[in-house]
Amino acid sequence: MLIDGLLIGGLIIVVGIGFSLCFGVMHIVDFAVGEWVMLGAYTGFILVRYFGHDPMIYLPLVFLIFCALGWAIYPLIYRAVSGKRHNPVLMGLVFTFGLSILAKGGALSVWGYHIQSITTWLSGKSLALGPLTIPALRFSGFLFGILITLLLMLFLYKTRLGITIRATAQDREMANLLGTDVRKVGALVYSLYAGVTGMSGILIGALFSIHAAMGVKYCTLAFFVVVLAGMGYVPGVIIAGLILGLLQSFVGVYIGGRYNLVALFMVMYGVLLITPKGILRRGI
Amino acid sequence: MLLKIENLDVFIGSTQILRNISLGVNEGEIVCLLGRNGAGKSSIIRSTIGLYPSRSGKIIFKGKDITSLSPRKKVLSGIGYSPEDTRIFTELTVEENINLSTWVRGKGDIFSYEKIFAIFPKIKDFLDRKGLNLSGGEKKMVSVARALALNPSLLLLDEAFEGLAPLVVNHFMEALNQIRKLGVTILLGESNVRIVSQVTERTYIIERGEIIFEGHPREIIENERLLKLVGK
Repeated sequence: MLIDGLLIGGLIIVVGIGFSLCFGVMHIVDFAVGEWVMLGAYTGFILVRYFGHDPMIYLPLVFLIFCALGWAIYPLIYRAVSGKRHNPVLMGLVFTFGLSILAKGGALSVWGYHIQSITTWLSGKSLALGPLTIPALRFSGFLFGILITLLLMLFLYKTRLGITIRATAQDREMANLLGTDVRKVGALVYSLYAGVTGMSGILIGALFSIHAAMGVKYCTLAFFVVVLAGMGYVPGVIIAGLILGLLQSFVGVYIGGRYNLVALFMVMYGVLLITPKGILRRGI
Repeated sequence: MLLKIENLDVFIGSTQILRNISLGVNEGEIVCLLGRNGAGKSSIIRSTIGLYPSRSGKIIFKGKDITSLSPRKKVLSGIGYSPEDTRIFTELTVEENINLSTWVRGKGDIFSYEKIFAIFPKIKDFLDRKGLNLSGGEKKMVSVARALALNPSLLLLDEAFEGLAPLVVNHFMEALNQIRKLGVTILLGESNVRIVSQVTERTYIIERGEIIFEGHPREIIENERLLKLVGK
């Protein structure tokens, strides 16, 4: 159960990191996070159906497609949240909520209510680690999560651009007053976030199932992880993602899977009540 | 004249916070805006850098009208800004805080580390420390160093001495003189007339968003009415 929780947590971390960065840099709570996952999963499904091969091969391609999508959409989001006559936070919420509805509606129109799945060469295989038997696909999802998290961390902590992104996430106005082009930084972050989230959709689609309404679940999970980590505090996402994975496993085994969301909301409510800046008290 | 502000009116919502502000700063000068908390010193500085948009009036820098430029463009045109609360990036190291400005500036006319260390030698000792773990005085130093790294012609310092221990205040006054000698003009917002009298020769008194006096700080110390007005 512990291993299972950690394995699920690995993938949730990837979705959570992008979501947290997006909030930190642009102060946008992106309601469309789950729809990026859903669209990523469907893109993987279509690529496999029309071009064959294993879905894992398409991970870099899906990343690039979604980066480009994020880059293209960002100017609209920027316009929505930076208009002087509007309430930027509310405009961001409304805009991304609209995006979410549009993506979900579009998926329903194209694929209907049918549940799809992606099969990989890892499906049905398992790994024996001593006395433990671990589903290979779930393990590869965890490895993918850890790898992407490490790469993102390396990028954020060891490159000039990454450090500029962290500075912008902490104090956008001050970063601007030191000459940083925060609009470009925002575009880059949104693009990266869309790319990583869309790419993780392929693995989520292979692990679970694909349907037009699947995004709601991942939006809730991403929101939970970011609240637990502290809004905008990226390093906290790793711990929060693992806690979420463990919590889901424990609730699933001891209480029942249908109470998962109730447990999540109770923990989220408790965190907001006791430590609104997240478990590490470093969020906004 | 390096900076000239003409008849500047600034509003936040429907409240007027600055009224008909006109002032000038010559190249190589340290000019001070003196006044009590809430008098409007920070508002003038924030309006100059572009954080408060003006409703009327002009801000002329190096002979060009920069009134409607964005804060970033003003910074890139040669105005450095160190805010009252320093706003150090606490998750970044001191070196990263300073480097952030130099990366934007690119290669070439960078205000080098040697120059920064000559002004604030102590920074060398905590370059790899995170902003979170700095004392108030250290944060002030890094904030000024960070603004200098942009290689500005004009440095806007808001309450640079506030909250500093007396010994650190002396070091800071020395640092300001060194910065001036390096060719950087300084516009300083300050509420302590004793400090002002030691670092500047020209001071404006701000009261309720208006300039009510311009002259040498000695004139303020010798004038009971003005001294009462500035509160110290």
